[in-house]
Amino acid sequence: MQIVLCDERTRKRGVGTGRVLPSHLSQAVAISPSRRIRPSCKSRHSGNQRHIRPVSFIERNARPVSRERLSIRFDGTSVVSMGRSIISDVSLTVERRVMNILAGPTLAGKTTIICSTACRRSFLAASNSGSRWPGLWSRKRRSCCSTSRW
Amino acid sequence: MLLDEPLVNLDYKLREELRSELREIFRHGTTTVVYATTEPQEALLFGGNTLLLDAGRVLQSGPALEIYHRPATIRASQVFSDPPINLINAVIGPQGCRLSPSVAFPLAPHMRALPAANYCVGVRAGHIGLVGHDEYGCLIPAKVELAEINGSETYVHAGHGDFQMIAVLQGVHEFGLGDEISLYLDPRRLFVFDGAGDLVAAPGDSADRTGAH
Repeated sequence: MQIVLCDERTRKRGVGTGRVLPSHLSQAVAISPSRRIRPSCKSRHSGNQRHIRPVSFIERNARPVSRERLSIRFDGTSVVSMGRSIISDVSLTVERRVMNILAGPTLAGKTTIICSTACRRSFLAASNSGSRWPGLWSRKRRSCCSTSRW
Repeated sequence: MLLDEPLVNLDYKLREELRSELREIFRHGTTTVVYATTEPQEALLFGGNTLLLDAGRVLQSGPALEIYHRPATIRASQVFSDPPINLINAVIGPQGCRLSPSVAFPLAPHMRALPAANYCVGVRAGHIGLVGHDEYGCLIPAKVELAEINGSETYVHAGHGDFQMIAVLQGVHEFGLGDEISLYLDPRRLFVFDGAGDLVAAPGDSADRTGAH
């Protein structure tokens, strides 16, 4: 399946011209179509601005997945930042209605997996380009609500 | 729901309370949760699927109890044990298992199929005590290096020859530095790792049948 990543410019235009994630990332994340954007996200751009419905990108491109099956899956995911490997060849299946524990010491990669699970836009973009995503991430830190609508 | 070490900055009592509360909330299995933690106890408390990570790599995955009872490697046993698991180099042969020139014991049932070689055996701190309960108890004379009283438990750091051990003893025990004590470990509770660090024998059904708790 392909996941369309809507960057800041296209998101402001409110049109479905987001760029496609590179293959290694699009294969790594499978998002259930049951994911919905919160109403509060839509109302943020009310008034004269056009309503932005980035969830349609996901809905349009996501392969139908049974609601009873997996929510998110990572296959052989690796993240390299500033030449250093943060996580390497991590596979994870998050099933619906199941408690999933990430256990490990500091610097094990738990937060990286949490962030990629949350589909932080800056995280995904930076992990692809090799830029300094921890800095970018902290500068562009967003609420859970807005990060889910990249 | 994504929870990234949500209890890490709380004081002990509040952490315990919230742990129980979270467990109660997630007990019904209606929520999809990804919960990151550094503490093996939390993983064991919540249960569910566990991904054990270290330095960006997956060490092991599966139910938390399975990882606890059958850590795949030495590193997995170290990461998933708190206090740290005691790791001791051992020589296993037909005569038994030898930890040092003065400490040897007959092989426990789950170790009998192992070929004679050098291994690393692991025993959790809670499985070392001051008394041997039966004929399997292996006595290890040791010298106290540190004794910490932690609530209702005492953490004893002791040395024997060239290896150190940590024992968690129930109750408050007062030891002075350098005191000579006798520690007992139950060979039926030993994990055995080969030279590559992979688990080759774990306390399992055979040990349970012989009465290990």
